[in-house]
Amino acid sequence: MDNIKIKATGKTPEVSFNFDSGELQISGRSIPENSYQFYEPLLTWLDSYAEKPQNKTQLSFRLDYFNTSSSMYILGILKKLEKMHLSGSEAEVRWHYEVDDEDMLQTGEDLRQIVKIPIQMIEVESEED
Amino acid sequence: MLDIKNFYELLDKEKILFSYKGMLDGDLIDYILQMVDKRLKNVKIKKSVRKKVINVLVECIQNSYHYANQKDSEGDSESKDSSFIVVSQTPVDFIVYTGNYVSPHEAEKLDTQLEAINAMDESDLREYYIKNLNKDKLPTSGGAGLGLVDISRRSGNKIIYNFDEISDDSLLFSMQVKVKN
Repeated sequence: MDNIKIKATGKTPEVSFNFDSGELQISGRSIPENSYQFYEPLLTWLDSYAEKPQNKTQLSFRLDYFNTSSSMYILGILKKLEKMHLSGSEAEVRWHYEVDDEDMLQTGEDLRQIVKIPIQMIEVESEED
Repeated sequence: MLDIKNFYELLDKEKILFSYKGMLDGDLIDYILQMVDKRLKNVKIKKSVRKKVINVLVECIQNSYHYANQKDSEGDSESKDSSFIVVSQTPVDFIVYTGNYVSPHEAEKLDTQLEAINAMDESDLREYYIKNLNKDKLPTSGGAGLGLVDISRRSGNKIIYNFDEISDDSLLFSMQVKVKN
């Protein structure tokens, strides 16, 4: 199975889905006008991955901004992992948020409320940019 | 002719960090966000406030973009050109003004939606957001009306909005969102 490696743009995040290590990362901004176009291939990849997942899958989010249409797909991704988790393969999620970024923390909490999968909230130092 | 002096004084007095009126597309939205981000970096505020303003702005602009471009198929250029965006600064907050032409039918829908959102408190908004985010079907375009709820939650203030009649079949929808500095 191929890995996914996508570079960040002004509106879409950097994505790295590694089949061999089971490490999945999404970081940066996610504010496309059309989230379907960007996220659909990721969901399809996860469907194939779920057929034969690694013993442990770790999904990590380090987002700066995201729009509401992205948040629906982020939830879609989490639901795929939830399914893997509930069918016995280990899966965990790390949700990074910068100090003071209450909105990002809140979203992590909201998502936690919806999916039954461990979501670890990780506070990180605010980066200068 | 344009009264530059008055226009300039208004920009200056109201501390307008950014203003735009006209069509929107993906690239323009990109440039607008970059520009506002740059302006916000030049005023001394916490990064978390800047992020909040940008996030509210993204949601407001994309909302306006979707409304203004709905009539694409009919080639309604008046509607496409109707979007406006203003970001101003006051001593206590940033205000994001956005809007565009809407049909009377859309205006009614927006009015109902915004009235309902403004009647909700923080925990109502959260509950509503979670419930609607967790729908089975993913949208293939737009944000399925969650955008306004998101804007209200992030802002922590009521959304001030208005409809001004332009003609029989169009109104200028405008909204103001405050983000506390």
